[in-house]
Amino acid sequence: MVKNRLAYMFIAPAMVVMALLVFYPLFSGIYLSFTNADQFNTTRRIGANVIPASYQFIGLQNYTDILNIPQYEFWRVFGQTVLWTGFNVVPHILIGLALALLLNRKIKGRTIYRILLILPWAVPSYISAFVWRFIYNGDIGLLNNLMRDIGLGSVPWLSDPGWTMFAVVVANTWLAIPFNMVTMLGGLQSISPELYEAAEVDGANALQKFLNITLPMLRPVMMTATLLGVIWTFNSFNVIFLVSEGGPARATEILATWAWRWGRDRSEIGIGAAYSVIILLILLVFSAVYVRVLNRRGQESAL
Amino acid sequence: MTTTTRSSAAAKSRAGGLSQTQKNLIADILTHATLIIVSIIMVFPVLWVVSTSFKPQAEVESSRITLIPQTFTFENYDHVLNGLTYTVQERGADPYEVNLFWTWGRNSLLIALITTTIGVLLAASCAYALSRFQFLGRRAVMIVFLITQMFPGAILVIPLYNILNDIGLLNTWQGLVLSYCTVALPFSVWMLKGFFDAIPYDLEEAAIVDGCSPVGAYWRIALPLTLPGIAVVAFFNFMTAWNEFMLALTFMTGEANKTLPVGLRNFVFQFNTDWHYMAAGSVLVTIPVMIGFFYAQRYLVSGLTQGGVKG
Amino acid sequence: MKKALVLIAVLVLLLGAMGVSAQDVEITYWDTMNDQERVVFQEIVDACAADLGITVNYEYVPFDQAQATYRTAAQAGNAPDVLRTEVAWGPEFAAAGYTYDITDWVTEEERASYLDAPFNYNTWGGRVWGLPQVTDAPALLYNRALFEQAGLDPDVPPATMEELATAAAAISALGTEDAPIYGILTPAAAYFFQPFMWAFGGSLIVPNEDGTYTIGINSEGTLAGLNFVIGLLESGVMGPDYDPANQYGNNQAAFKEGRAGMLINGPWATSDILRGEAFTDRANLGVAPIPAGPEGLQGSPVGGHGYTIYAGSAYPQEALNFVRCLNGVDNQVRLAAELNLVPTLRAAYENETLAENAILQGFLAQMEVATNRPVLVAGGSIYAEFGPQYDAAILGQTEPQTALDNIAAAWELLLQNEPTPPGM
Repeated sequence: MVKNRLAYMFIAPAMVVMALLVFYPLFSGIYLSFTNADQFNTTRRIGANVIPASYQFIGLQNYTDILNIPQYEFWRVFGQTVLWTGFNVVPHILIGLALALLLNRKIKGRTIYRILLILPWAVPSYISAFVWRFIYNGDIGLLNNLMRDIGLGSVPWLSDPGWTMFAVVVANTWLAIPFNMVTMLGGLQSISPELYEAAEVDGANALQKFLNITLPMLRPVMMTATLLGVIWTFNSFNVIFLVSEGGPARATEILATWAWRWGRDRSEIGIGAAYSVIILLILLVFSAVYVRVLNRRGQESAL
Repeated sequence: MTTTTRSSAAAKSRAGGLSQTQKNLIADILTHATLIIVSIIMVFPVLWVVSTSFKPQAEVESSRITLIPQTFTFENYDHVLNGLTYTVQERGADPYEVNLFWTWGRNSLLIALITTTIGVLLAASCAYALSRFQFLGRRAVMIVFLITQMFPGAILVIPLYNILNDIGLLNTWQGLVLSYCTVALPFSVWMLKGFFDAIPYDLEEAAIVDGCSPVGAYWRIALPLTLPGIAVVAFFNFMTAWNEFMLALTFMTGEANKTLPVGLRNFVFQFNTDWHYMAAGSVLVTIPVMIGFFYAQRYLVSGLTQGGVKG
Repeated sequence: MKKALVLIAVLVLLLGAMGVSAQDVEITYWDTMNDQERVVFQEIVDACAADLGITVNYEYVPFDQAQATYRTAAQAGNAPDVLRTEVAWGPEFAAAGYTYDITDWVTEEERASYLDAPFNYNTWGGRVWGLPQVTDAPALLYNRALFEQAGLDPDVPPATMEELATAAAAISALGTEDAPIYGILTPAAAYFFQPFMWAFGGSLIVPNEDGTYTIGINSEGTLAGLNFVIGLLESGVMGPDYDPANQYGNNQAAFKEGRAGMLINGPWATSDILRGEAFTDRANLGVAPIPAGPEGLQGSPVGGHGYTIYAGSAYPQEALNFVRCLNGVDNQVRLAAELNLVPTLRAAYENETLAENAILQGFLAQMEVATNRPVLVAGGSIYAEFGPQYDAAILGQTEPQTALDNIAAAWELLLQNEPTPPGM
């Protein structure tokens, strides 16, 4: 009991701040998703004059509208979000792992490589996004200029749905590699050297050591990094918002940017909130299934 | 470090002969080649901004692009550093002129440093409790932290705005600092819990037996042992605050209250962007982070080794 | 005793009232003008603050974020006293109760001092919600030197869409494969496509006599205009290839560098264009009305900005006086002379210096044949659907007719939700 009270004391400051600035907005968002709230019927405090809220509870109508009315383009944007997340997370983990393995070898100049490879982490992401957009520019961009100079012709980096998805994924991967690489490197370095030595005594070659020691030992780190990667990428906003603006013609719009367009650009607060709840539900279901599958395989899970 | 030293030395002694050395040489060459190519890709966009920042506007917008500026100019830096001024008018005081870029920089630095301090303190004590104590709702707290990451942050902007307005923290650095702490908190707690888990409880127990209070054991024994983890989390908090754009734009109005990310948007207009100024501003914003980064990066890796994203 | 207390209270109130001298009036003004414009405008703001003896906080809000930021601030009681309001935002802000109804303060005389069209944009539901700062409409900007090189007469710019296509072909022939010259630059967004739409007989949303609206976006005329633009692109005389996120900036860059003969853009773009190497001699910039379509129709979207006052402002009257000062004839003349911004006051046009500004005169000719849009709350949201669908059609991702039908369907929904003005 004493322990309990002490524990609550320790978590209290964080929880109070979270309750006020995260949980409350989150619950109000969930509530608003069941209403027809927009900027003409929410509470407005205009100087001394307070106009009370007059929106109504409309049950699940926002949700059924989103799923059924073509203008809300739910399925298209959902599909794009899944592609965006998959195309990002898989290379993030694989490239991160590959680079970590290389950096974990005893080679000269390791520190310099490490610094250069994690450099993008130090660049504020809105600046990186602007730089990539400048590089991808169809007419005066660096890439197309180089391509034209060597006679390959222009590529519609931000004008063709497929190329644009490729372009934003590359930009986002560039941003995400340092974190994934460092995480994997941390995982690799915490594997006990005795394991490798024992394997060598048994005559294991490099590939066998990788498959039988490195991968299994790294699995918990990789699995957690994958889960976090999926959650963050699914909701990642900056790169799409600043590089392609969701274009061309909404081809790179994802659920998070799309919810923003409805909730803020168009002030359809109820619709925007419903979209956000849908995102939350998708990720909850994904995480639950993910953790369950991992547990079934007898692995230490993220939770 | 030690891992590879030992294992490769062991490999040499056992395999013996030239073929293993040759194999190692080839592997080393391939490793270097790959790392050099990837390093170039990672660094190139950064160098490209630096190059752009020294070009005059006509050259930046030109269709004839050169990697190195043809006309080398400091004009962009001069404009960003000295050309942006604002007259502050305060009641009962004479109006005075401030340099905007330095003002934004000071705001950003102040907010980032305070966010880092408060964020680390909040996260550390919360993570400590989650790591050390069994209590009702412990698992729920962990899950709730994960769930907050699943709700798109952008949609919380307006409710958050209204709350800050109600408690009188709108358009103040305190409001922004608290908001950033909450953004960084879930990940920070997760990270730090991993670090505390990795430290044996014996030391704290012994201290408590010797008459140290549980809070003292946390503060004087557990916390210092997780310094590498604290470094990682501090860096994460700092970057969160230093980079954030959307909340700062919505919460902070008034030229002199802006942070650097919002201030740089002064170079983005209705339809187009002053790339030459944007580039110079970007370099200036990134330099302080880079300097700190060079010092922090070794802790980042060693920190992630000890605790890591293990959940 | 009681009386004494009352007396003291009255005295305190009186003293307090006297204490509110003009010096204590503090007004916050949010501007969305660009860099070059703000240099000039800062001086105007300072002069007005000094004249009126008030404190003015002159703040910049990025244009693309201004509408959303203002909404958030306004509904929480924190909006600036004065906002530079894009014409399409006005009805929305009025309907939500954000802006101050200044109808009773604006006399008939003051109303008559403004041009009708820009003033009308500041009204909604028969009430007045703001005063117009500038008006504008995109016109045909052209590089006179390139016209001469291509054997065209720079004093006779194309008057029909057919002539425009011919001129564009002649200019683009000057380019080489390595250094292309674009006859005319690709319209940077749906907004800049509208002149083609009107020229070929299309329309946006047209008010009917019975108060309902007809959506003309998926009419044959709009389709013809869209196909005309696509034809120019495919024939190679229009360029560069459409890049929706960067097109506006690319157009400006190409035009400034002398890589393009013609550009459709508004007066606000000229201060940037004149910084370009092709226009170091400003006489090289020609400005003409956008050519007419096959049946002689012409159009260009009348836009512009007004000043609105926040309904929660502590000093609405002082804010209005501040706006009136900013909008003084001399100031409007100055913006016109130095930045080529089109005045909204009739009196500004009597100033002789404006006659010497050829660029401004070109835009004035365009204003004569420009098209006013209906003043609707939905007006602020029409490009949310129009933009992406236009992009899809231009990029060949959607059949033009399908894209236009999609816009029409989305606008049906918008119009269904159009709020009714109070008292109507």
